Amino acid sequence: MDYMILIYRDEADAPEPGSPEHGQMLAGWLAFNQRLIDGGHWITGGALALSDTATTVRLDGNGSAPGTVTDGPYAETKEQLGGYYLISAPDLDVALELARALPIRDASVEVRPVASRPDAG
Amino acid sequence: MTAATPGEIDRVIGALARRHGGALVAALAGRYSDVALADDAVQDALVEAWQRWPDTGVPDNPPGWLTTVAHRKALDRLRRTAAEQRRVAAVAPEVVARGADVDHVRPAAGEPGGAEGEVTLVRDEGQIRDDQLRLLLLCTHPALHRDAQVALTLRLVGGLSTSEVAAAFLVPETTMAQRIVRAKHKIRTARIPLTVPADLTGRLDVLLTVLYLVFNEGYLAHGTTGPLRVDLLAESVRLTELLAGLLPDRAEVGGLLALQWFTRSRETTRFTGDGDLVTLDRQDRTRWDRTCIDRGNRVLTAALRRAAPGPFQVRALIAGEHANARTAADTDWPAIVRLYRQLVAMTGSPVERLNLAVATAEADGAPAGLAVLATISGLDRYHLFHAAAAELALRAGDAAAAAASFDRALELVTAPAEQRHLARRLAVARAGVPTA
Repeated sequence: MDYMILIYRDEADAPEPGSPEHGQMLAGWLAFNQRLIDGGHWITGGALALSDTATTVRLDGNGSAPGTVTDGPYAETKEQLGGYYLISAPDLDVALELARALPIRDASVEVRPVASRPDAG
Repeated sequence: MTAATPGEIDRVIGALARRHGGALVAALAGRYSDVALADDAVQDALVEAWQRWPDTGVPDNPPGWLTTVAHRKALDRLRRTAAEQRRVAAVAPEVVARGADVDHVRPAAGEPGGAEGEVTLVRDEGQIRDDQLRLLLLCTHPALHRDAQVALTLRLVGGLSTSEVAAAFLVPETTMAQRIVRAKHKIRTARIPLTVPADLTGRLDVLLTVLYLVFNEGYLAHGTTGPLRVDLLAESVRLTELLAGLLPDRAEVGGLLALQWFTRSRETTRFTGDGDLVTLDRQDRTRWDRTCIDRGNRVLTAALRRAAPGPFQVRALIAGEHANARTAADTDWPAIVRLYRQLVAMTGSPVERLNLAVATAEADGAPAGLAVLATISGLDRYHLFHAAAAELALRAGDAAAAAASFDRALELVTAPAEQRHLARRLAVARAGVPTA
């Protein structure tokens, strides 16, 4: 079964690029990615640019009208979506264990089963 | 076959569901790795019993009958699903290609598949215990909402019907049914596994919390028990005993069980014949149930011997101090204060701090109790906080403050017996307020 892992965290918490903390953080993510690969869980994943670069398209009504485009993320919350993984795991407990092992603190991580994936027949 | 009246048949089936339903759901769920299927199959079998037994009479071996029929119902459902999927596959192959789960329509290894005729569900003793523990852990999986954990535990493991669970928690049956359906849907869709995790401790904490919640609900519901309301106290004891049998080495399970036995010993003295509350210091201790107290003492001693302390054992120790005190005056309040201090340190719970305040007042006087009370935050909407504040103020000689706190408690209380008790106490406080 495939699970989407969505990582929400406070964008202000990010360490300065080039700082030792930043280097440690990168090493943490690399190790986590390697764990996913070694365990056969890796499908894909990525870090998002900050939410001030987000654009939201609102599709209304019957769909014939062009979507309304606004600046900013879908929801202005303190914790913003900052990255994601698409993983393969035999059950929710394995997926949750991986989510708990993410090299990040003070974050909310949503784990959701993927209902269907047309690219992975 | 035994002839029986419809009323008797209802009772037989209800008792059968409670005594064997949980184990059967567990066994079928273990066999087919599908809790929803297992539950549906057992419900189908119970419905068949309701339909047929009034005509045929009760079979000689009801549990055996239920097992055979439930297993056949499970296979029927698997076959129907498989046939449906084949039909869908014929007209719309892309739907079945990936999204649909073909895993749980395949009978497990060793299963005769679609063969007709008698089917048996052979599980050895060890497997049955495993099945039941896995089912209990699944029902209380932290990925499920607390309300759903409680509902599933009573429904699937306890063998209660949805309407009984709904009545026990005073919610409409449709609400409870939706809650259960939603939980089963999540179990299947998110694939919450039917396994015993390597590190059991954290999961066991959740499981014990759920059982404690059922117990508390039963304790508080006393006096509102109608014909439809099941005795949740009895249910929580039954489920905790089951768990204690499955995990005999876990001290905290014993702690929770002992706590329940001590509390049950006072079942008949907590209320007057009119349903009015009798506080602990005024109860007739000669009417406390010795058998329950002895059981509590035995279970608690065994648990403490494991030298693995935890909050439920401390709660049981406190309940034991009360249960074993011959008179209210014999109560060892300093010991109880020490135990509540431990409990506050373990749980950080403001409710336990409130209990500490009350015990401190008993041991060291009302002003000392009020000092502990002053350190509590977060209980402003809890009626017992205000009731305790009122009692301590009254004892400290401040009738006006007591009346104000009783007023506040009365605004928040819901149980009728407690309401009447608080109203009486408010009148006492008001009588003591000097008139200007």
